Amino acid sequence: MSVRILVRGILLVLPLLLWGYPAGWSAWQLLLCLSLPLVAAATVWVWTGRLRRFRMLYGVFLALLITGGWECWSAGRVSRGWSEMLQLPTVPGEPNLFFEYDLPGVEARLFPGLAEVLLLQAVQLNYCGSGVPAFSGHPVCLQYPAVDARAVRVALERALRQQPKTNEDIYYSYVEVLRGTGGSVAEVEAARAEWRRLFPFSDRPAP
Amino acid sequence: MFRRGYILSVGGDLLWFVLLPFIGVGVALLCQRYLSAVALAAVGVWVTLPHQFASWLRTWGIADERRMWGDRLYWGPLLIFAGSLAGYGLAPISTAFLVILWDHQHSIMQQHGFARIYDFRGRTGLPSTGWFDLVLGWLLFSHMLLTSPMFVFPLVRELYRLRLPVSAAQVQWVTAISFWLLAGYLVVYAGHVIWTVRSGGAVNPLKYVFIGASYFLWYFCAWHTASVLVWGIAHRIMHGVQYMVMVYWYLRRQTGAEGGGRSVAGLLSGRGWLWAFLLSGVLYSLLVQALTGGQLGAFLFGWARFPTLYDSIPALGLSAMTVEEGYAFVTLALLNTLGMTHYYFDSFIWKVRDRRIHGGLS
Repeated sequence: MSVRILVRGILLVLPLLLWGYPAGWSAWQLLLCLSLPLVAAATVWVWTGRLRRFRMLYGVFLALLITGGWECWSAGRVSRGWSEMLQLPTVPGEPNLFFEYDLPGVEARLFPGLAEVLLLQAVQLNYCGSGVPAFSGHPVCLQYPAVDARAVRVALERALRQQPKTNEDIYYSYVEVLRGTGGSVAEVEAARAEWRRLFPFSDRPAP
Repeated sequence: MFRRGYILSVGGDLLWFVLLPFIGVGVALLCQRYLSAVALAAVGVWVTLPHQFASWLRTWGIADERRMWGDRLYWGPLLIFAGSLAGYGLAPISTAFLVILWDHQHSIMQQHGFARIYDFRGRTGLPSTGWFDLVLGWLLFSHMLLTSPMFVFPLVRELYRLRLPVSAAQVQWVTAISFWLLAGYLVVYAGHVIWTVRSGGAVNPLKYVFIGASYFLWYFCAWHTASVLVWGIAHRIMHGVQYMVMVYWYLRRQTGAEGGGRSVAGLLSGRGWLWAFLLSGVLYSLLVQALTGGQLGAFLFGWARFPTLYDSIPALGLSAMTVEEGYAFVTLALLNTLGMTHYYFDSFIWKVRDRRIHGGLS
């Protein structure tokens, strides 16, 4: 059965390969075409053959291989040698979620006021108010009525009111923002004590 | 039309399979109100790790079953550990994502398994009822994953990190499709129940009370609180405690016929040995925490800190273990291996259609 699938699969992709190679397809595209019948045949073989008892693990590892391959490429973790050999298209590496994409804006449209969303907005606001022209002049910053340090603090305080006790970043960032925006000693100490109380096992240095 | 069948007994089912989800939600809300995030870690060491021990005991504790499952019992953990190490080294987001998805699949299948046992014990439903229940479980759980803020928020974020940006409109579109798909299926499911009764079959009402209680917990926590702490604690209590109750009950019945004490599982599940069963789970939890450098203070809800493998001991000239030493990386893989091995074992040891395990279920 799996051999039949393999043979028929190769016969199916052969015209693609014969057309794609002279047309200048990249090595990764040709390899992907060739691997499709192989994966299909291997899947059927595992599902129906002697290794049937391991089909669940096979499925999990196959899913990991596909998503992991995408992740390695999209994050720019494929070595130069492999990239050149497979003729992979270049990617800029880890994405900037705040300016390359507007993740805070998308999440805010979906879940306005959610503590985690407010943290994202606070980080974006912090960049917007940093005075660095690349950030402060960016179109995503125009959606905020104010982009100063006070706006960052207000966003974090709104988040904290929801008691997001599993999100250490919010509590930690708040202490840093308080220090950076001239919060009183009592305010900083109270925020630091709250962070330490909620996250006693944190490895982070006290802010 | 209705035929009741219990997994344990009237009182046992009422406590462990109907009321427990509500108790779990109550405990979780109290933890959210009065405790820190360490409560989640505490539930992890008191409930989640011991329930994984129950899984090891269930698979390795009875000689007959050990032979029955064969090489899957050692190849499974080995392959998972190797895959986990490679995955966290090369593609951490995908690996973490997969572990979470597998965990969800495992949760769906556990409740589905209990629902099957209700039909088995009550001799209710039609041969096709298992498939209808399975699709119902998947659609109900998937709808929650695709629409509740607690799950959609990180899902969207991780998609962006993988350079797969989705717009708010696309997410809302998926939400609408999921809703109508679920609504349509609920109508189909109701039709199946009516068809079951009309064709002379019976329905076990307790199965539906159980399903309702389980999904109440998940939906309430995912929608009305949107708090990882509440979800994590309530879910872990329900999932872990129900699993341990089920394993204990199964082992007692399965080993009872063989004279009980002739195996480790028989000994630990014997009459008067419940304390040993529970203590073994806690000892396992302690061992895992010690091996993986986890905080032992989690056992006391963070009220005390104990030295761990990460802390330095200047008096002995030992410096703290760091991530750079690679230990944390291996322990992360090890912790995930324990969880994933539990998901893997459960994917084949609880199949109600497998006659070989009927002794422990009937």
